[in-house]
Amino acid sequence: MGHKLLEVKDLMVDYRTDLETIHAVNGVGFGLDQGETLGLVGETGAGKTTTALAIMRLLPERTGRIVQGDILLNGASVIEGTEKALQRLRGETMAMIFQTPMTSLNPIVSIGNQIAESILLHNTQGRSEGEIQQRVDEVLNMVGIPPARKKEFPHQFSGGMRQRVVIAIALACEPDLLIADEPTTALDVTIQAQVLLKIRDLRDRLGTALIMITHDLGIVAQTCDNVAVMYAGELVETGTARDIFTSATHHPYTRGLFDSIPRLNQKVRRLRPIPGLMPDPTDLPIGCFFSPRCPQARPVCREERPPVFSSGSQRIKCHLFGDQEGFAQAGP
Amino acid sequence: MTKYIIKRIILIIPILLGVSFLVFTILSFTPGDPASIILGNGADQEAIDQLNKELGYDRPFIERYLSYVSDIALHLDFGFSYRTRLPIRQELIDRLPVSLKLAFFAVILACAIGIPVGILTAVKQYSALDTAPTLTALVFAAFPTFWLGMILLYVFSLRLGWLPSYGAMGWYHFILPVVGLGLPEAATLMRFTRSSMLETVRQDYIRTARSKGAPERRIIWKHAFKNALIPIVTIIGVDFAALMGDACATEVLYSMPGLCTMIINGIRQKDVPSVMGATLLLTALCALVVLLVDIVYAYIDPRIAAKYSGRRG
Repeated sequence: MGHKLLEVKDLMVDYRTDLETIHAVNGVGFGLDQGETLGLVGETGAGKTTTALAIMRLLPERTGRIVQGDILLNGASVIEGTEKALQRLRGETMAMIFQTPMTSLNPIVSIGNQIAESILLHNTQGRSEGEIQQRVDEVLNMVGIPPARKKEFPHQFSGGMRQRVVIAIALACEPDLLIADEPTTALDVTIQAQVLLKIRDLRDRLGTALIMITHDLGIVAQTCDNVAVMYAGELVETGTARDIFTSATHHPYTRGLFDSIPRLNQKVRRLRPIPGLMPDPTDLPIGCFFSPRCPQARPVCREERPPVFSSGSQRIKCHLFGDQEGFAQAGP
Repeated sequence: MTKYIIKRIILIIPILLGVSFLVFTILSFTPGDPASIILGNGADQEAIDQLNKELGYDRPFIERYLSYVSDIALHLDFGFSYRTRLPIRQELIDRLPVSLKLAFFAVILACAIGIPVGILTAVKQYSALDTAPTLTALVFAAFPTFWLGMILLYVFSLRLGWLPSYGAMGWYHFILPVVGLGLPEAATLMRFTRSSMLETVRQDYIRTARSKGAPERRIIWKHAFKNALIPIVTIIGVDFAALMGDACATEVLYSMPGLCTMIINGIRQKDVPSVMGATLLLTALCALVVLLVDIVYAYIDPRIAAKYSGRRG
């Protein structure tokens, strides 16, 4: 793996309104090497998108606040960057694919121009108008849309094609980091595989580092080198994809996630969903955030924040691993 | 597109027929007749009957209506004024520019103030640059046109003597009426622009534009404003039509020889052809403005253009 591209350190993000403060991300830290793919997994509301938006510095201006922590992109802080510096980074060094392909494109600008804008904004090579158009054609070919259709508008494309246009916009400047925020959630099942394959294929071809945000463990298994499981704004378990899928020991939440997936090789009468709901982000529990739903919770879980324990590349934030063989405390 | 426009122009005909029938009926069935109003209280019945006959007012209602409509349809002849005996068509031609200028410049003024200030307040939401204009707009939007007109008349003509108080001879005669008519309209338009912009900047595609690294100025003008413009254009069109009506108070207040004064004087004197002619002309104008708005839509929004021409989409 290449050098450290992205480092997220102890990130905390709040959404503040007059009525309440929502603690969306509560101390998330991870690193990403060049060309690496990280799967960010968790339920809706776990803070995955917020983490991604914080990295892009696209949090809602009025409410979203980065309270603590730092985000380093190629060693430089994104949080301290000026708006101008950020504009240079966005699109050129990091890009994002959003989960709503139907609304992510400007309805009154042709798709060709929307892709061209991205190239024009970061025209460091001094491309001429003709060369920009040529690049637009190239990118469209790359995502499998005939360049002849570049004069058409978003409403003339299907959901899957629109998402491919969004991917084309994101990849037009060949960014080092691509954040794909549930890129297939809003799509038809038949189109999902097609879009995923496209993202994977382009990642491999361009050597882009990828953060794949999803709640679909199948996608993680197919695409990711490393996996981070998120719950109530924190990482409860991280490790390589192999750790997550084959290791015998897991955070109870990760176990719950796997138990709620139907398996083909086992006769299962009923799925076992995780009982209860995610804690209210305006009023988080005192101890471990998962303790109210955890089947193995001990008294200490409801009183103290769990430390992180590690074994090999696997890191688990849970009290249960304090006396587990092979695990050593690796952090608070 | 051309086919669509032609279709829409043809559709104006039934609108005109409906309006003409309605107004003609109301005018004919209200009590009184033109001759007794022209000749005054002391006139004897024989003279009144004689004059009504001359004017053609003695014929049955349906006959009068049909001949009125067919004269317009066949010869573009709007008849003669009962009062002055002059052809209505010439009077319409003389008065139309006054009304058009008044409404046109009032709309221009409203756009020139309302749209930029509306964008500013949306971009600077919750700051002093938002609250101050928004509150001012609230006050101006609440002013009745005639009241604001009277205040302006009092201050600038009567007290200061800077501007004329009546007539429509030169451009300076239009300043007060245009301001009086345009300012409340600017307030409405500003509030509308503000909410439309606020709605637009929350859209997902604005976030996409930001994620490309587009600077704020470009996002506001190229991505947000163009999309916000679609509902704003509707309001401008509706405003223009409403202004034609609002202009009644203004035209009367400043004694401007426009179409609205023609209607009001016509009603007072039961001058059916005057009222009819001016009403029909205003109706046609409003219908054309609405059509114009629909055409402008197509230029802004490709989805609507596709609908007009029946293309895929």
